[in-house]
Amino acid sequence: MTLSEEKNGNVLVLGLRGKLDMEGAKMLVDKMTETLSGGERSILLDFTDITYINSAGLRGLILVAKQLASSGGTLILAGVSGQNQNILEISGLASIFTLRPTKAEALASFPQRC
Amino acid sequence: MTEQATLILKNDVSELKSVIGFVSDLCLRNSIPAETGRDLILALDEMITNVATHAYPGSEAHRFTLQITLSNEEFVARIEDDGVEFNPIQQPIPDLHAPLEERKVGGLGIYLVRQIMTSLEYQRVAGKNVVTLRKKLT
Repeated sequence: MTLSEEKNGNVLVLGLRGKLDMEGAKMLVDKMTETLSGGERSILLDFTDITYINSAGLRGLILVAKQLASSGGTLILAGVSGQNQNILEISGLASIFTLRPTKAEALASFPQRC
Repeated sequence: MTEQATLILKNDVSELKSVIGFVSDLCLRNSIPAETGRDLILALDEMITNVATHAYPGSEAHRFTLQITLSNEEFVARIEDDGVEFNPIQQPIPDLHAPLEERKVGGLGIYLVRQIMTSLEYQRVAGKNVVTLRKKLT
């Protein structure tokens, strides 16, 4: 898996590409730790280019969500579709996470700074 | 049409690559729908990762087998290992309704397999774990 990042206003957008498996999950968790220590609290995970998720990937997703929640942050997932959406639904995680079909809709869903 | 193959695998997650390649080719050759192929790969990923990661504590190399049988009606994968006794069917089902702060991170792999495959069977035979995954194709 590869990770790209860009800042959009107060939202840090992390673009995930490839397989969210054991290696991808470790990359994601390490990135979230680094991101939180840098003070970011609004995180968008773009799943548009994720081709595969397994249970190790789901574990990583749960861990980063917990990390961010315990820091008072907001996490939104964009572009989760097809089998990826199916896996999140089967595992009961689709109802825990905030999902938006596109990056643009996800960005619009973050609380705006005053 | 029936195809059958047996793969001998090392207890190393790097073996997944060859399994995924084999199953992908098999599905392509036999016009298995892409969605079904993805389910088969995910199920094998989960079960093989379990064996490679947990069946043999320590760093010694071991081998286990994956036998695949494909007919017009179903895909069957039989995984046989002589590692520590482990019955996947007895593993607790994760609480899918727990809120985020109470969600445990483990237990999802086998649960996913049981959801996406038609059946998951386990036998302990002559000191070996024998797991059989089936997916109906019709």
